[in-house]
Amino acid sequence: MGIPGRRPPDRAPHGLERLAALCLQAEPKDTRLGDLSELYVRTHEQATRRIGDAPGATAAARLAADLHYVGASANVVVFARVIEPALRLAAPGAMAFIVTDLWERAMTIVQISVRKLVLPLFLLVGGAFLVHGAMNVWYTWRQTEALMIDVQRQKADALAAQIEQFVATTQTQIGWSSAVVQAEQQRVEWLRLLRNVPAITELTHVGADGKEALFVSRLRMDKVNPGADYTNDVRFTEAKKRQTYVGPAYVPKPGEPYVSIAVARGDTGSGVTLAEVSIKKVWDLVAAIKVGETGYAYIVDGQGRLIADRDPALASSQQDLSTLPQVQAALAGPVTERQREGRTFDTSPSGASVLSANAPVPSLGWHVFVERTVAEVWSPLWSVALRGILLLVLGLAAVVLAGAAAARRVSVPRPAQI
Amino acid sequence: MLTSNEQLVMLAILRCGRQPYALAIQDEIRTHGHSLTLGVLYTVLNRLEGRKLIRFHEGEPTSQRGDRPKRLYALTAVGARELRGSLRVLDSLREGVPSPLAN
Repeated sequence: MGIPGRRPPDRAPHGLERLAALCLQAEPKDTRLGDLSELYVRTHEQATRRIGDAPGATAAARLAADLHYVGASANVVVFARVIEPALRLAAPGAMAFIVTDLWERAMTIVQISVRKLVLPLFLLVGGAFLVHGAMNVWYTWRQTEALMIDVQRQKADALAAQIEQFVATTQTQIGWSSAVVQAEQQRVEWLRLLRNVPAITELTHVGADGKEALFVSRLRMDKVNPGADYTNDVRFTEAKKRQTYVGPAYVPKPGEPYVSIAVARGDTGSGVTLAEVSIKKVWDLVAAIKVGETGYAYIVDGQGRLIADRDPALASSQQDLSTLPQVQAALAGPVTERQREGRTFDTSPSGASVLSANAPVPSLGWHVFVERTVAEVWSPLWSVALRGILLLVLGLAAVVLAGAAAARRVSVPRPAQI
Repeated sequence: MLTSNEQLVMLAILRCGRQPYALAIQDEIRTHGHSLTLGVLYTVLNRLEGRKLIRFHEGEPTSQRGDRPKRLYALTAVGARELRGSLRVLDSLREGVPSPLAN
């Protein structure tokens, strides 16, 4: 038991004994000091048995024995130095008996008061402390979690705004460079555009009759009046209706994502310009997102297909993520604050539990998701929670002990008083 | 006349067997569902000893007690008579008492 090499005490410490002898004005061989010394050794043994080999057991057992010794000594001193002399001063005979009896009754009342009032009071205070502690831990947890999800939401908003800006700028540049009627002049204008905007790979002019009038590409041969029919092409028909149209993302080769952007040549009334635009920049923006240690971003389109991820291979696969609860919620309709807050823990594409925030890209129907694993979100909260839980456990132990003591004492039968 | 604590202490002395010293008397009383602090116990013992109802002799010293002897108590003949009379009054009063105090 206890620390190896430290023997249990075979008598009370000399310092405590000298103090007790001084207060009692007792001789060194007084039997009361002997009783108190034996009490010390007994208390130490009992405490050691109860505590076992826990760290600090020896020190705790000695502290318990010291405290018990001091308490018992104080009790003996009070009775020997105060109560007994007072009783001797009282008149002998009936008066002494009455005084003695009254004193004993008073002591009994004090004991009962302690058991029935102080312990319940302690239970009440302990209970209040427990409730307060639990609420404190819960509020701290929620506040920290809200702060973290706010950071993720800001990242998602910023990324969505950058994508919107990228697409809007590209559409504007296509529109400006397409306000030319003459084919050769248009070709020169588009070659200049291809040089200035690396994301655009090919440009096609479809005339008002739906026939291809000009094709300019940085990968293939340019063509004038190739004559292909676009009258039933959704890019042509939608752009005629809505001025602009952005098609679904596609990946013709691994690592090379594209979208088709169509812009109606409204100012000249002469058809539609179709452009194939690389969205590799969007992938780069997604890969650059850092949120904590495990945070990441990804983008899904209006059907829940993955179109951008930090892992190019995964993004190239255009995996269907529409079964993820956070994606379903985002696709279900207008994004509410509740959905955007991401308070529920969802499941990531990799299967881990995450805290998810999302932001829409309205012009494209895409949704940007920024997620972080639950384990990382909660890691800074553990120290707060552990402190709170430790206090809760200590408080709970104190309350249980006090309750057990109160129950045990109340249930002990008392001898009849005469 | 004996107070209830005096009766308790005298009965505990009788029940303690060969080692009726203060801590043993205190343990004996606690075993039967009551408790007396050492201060109260010494006061009662001193009072009983002053009234010649109990007497004591010193036992062997032990290391646990710092080589101090135990004070071993025993009832005097007067004490035994006084306790017997006191308990007889109690028994007489209890006799015929209806439930819940009846055995």
